[in-house]
Amino acid sequence: MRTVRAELSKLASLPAFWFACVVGVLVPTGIVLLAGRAAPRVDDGYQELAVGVLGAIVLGVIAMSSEYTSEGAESAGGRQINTTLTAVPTRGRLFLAKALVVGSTSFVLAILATTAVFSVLRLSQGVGVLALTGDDLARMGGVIAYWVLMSLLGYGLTAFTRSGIIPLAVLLVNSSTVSVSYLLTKATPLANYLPDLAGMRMFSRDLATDVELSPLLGGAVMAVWVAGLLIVAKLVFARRDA
Amino acid sequence: MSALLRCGRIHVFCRAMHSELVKLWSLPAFWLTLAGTFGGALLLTLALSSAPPTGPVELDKVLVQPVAYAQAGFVLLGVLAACSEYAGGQIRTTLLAMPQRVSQRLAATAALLLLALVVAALVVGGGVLFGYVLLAEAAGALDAGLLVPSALNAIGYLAVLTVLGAALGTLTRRVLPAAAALLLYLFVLSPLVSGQPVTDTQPDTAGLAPWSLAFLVASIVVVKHRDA
Amino acid sequence: MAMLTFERLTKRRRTKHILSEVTFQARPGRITGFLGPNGAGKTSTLRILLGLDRATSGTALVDGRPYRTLRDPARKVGALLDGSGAHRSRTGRAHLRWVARSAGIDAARVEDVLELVGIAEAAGSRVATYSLGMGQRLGLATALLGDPEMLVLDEPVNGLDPDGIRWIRGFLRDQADAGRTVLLSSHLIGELSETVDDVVVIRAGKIVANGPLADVTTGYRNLEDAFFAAIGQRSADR
Repeated sequence: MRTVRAELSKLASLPAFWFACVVGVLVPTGIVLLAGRAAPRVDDGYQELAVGVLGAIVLGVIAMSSEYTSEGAESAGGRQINTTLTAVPTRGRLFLAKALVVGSTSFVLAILATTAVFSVLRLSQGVGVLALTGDDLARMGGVIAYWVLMSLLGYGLTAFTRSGIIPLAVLLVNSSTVSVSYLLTKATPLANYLPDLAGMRMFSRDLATDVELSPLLGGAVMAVWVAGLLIVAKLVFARRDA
Repeated sequence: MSALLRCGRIHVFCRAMHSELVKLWSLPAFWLTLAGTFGGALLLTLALSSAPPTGPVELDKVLVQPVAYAQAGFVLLGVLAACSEYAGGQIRTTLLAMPQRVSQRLAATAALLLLALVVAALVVGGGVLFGYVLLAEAAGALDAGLLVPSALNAIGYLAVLTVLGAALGTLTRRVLPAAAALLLYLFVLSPLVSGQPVTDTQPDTAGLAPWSLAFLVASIVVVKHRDA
Repeated sequence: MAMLTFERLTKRRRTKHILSEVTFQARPGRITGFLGPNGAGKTSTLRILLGLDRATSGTALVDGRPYRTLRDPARKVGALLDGSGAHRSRTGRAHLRWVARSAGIDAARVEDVLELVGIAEAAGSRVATYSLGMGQRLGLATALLGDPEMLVLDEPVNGLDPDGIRWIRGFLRDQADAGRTVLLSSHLIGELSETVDDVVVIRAGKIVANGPLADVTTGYRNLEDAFFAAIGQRSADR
């Protein structure tokens, strides 16, 4: 528990953490505000949140990459990981504590962003948009789960690379309106089982692909990917020289 | 005398540029980015080509779409080249060796532009060639008169983009903020604002060049006046 | 004359006074020790001399010229500031290669300096794997590449082993005897008193003592006592 609190304060004291939070909430809300579509579509709000997930991704990436950066004018190559590992030598516990912090902060961030996006949507397009039926609630739960899993995906990938740049670039490029994963579905149906595309089934009802996964199955596929990645990442993190 | 002086200045500049080339060449991150960009572009071409082609329009797309994603590689190339100066205090060594900062930045930019052009030619050319081979039957419909200018345009665009990445990297001195900002703009904000997916947007070299130049000038002015 | 001249050098950051009217010289054929507690302004002074930082007012000149206007700086001044000044992922040899290239120096010279500072075996390894002392030696090798007329070294013995310290002491003496100018900063007084000819003491951005070693230590048991008297503190056993 002490480790979790230490990790939380470490994350919260990074300027990039607050930047991630601002991106996560403001970007999707801003897009909703700017777009102001005439005809409501089934994925209104969710589509924007699928872009806002970048905030959660950044959060996961920096939680790990900040341990390894030695940039900055005169940091003399000092990397925080050395301090961290002397303070908490049990690496497995450290890795889990970090993952817990990443998951729970992105959970909170996702709730905030979802609330903000749908409040704005409701204000701008009338009550009809959000009837809060059981299906709406399930989709919202799905989008929040998607954010949490994506942040953990970023975290796990960064544990391998130790530098935030590659995971961030890959995940960012893949968040484009036409994601690489989506393009790949045209080449092979197997691409539907990539974590991001499978996870989107949890909330999106408008994915034009040949293979249809149910929301639950999609979420399960993504969760398996993330769990597998975290297990391997934890092993690597625990065994490697810092 | 003045001719001699200018000669000396050009000589110093060439030396600096050569040094910057050696510097990039010996940076592992440069090779990693290069390999990643090249490999990624070829893989995408392969994936897209394996979809059943339905005519010359599709073929065009197959050749252009990987370039859209290759943008990311070139952004990273520029940002990493600039920010590597600020890791481990290398900037001190650079400025001690080449104290005239404006010409140091110009030499570094020239070296980077040169390498970026070569890399872009490899990526675009490789992609086109690869796609051509894969789509042998459909390739008959390919119009070289259209393809060559659009390939050259893409090469120029990617090189100019690299310079923009380097300018942003020099301004921020840190990889993550510079790369994240530029990638966010290119892949998320710009497609959203224009309403066009990134893969459908033609590389706009003429539109990008002024921005690159503006950021390059800004970065040089900042470097000139900033305490290293 | 290969002289380093500081003339009323002043540096302010916002309202904070880093340096106030710092004036002294480092002369050829002599080793000048630049002495002061942590944060007194030693490194700032040297950074301004080397064109890395800007002075608010005053001048710091190399042979009467600002460093930034030197055409061939590597042959004029060799400088070592905190650490290797190399990118972590490059090898030591690759680092020296690009520096040599920028000054138009032959690649063979790279091998010479690697040998000279004693890191020839590690030349093919990445800088990230170097120890503190090896990084320091690489920084020194960079400074020596152009066989410069003047040496400016910030805390050169930092992280060096006893062997290295003895080597650098002899090396600097040889350089000075050959008529070159050596300016080195340190907070290790004992180390300096064995090495230097002239002493400049800085405290809170102001020069508080300046002159030949013998003059500065007159009336004191040793340089350490003179130093503490100059910076206004009593040494522990006095």
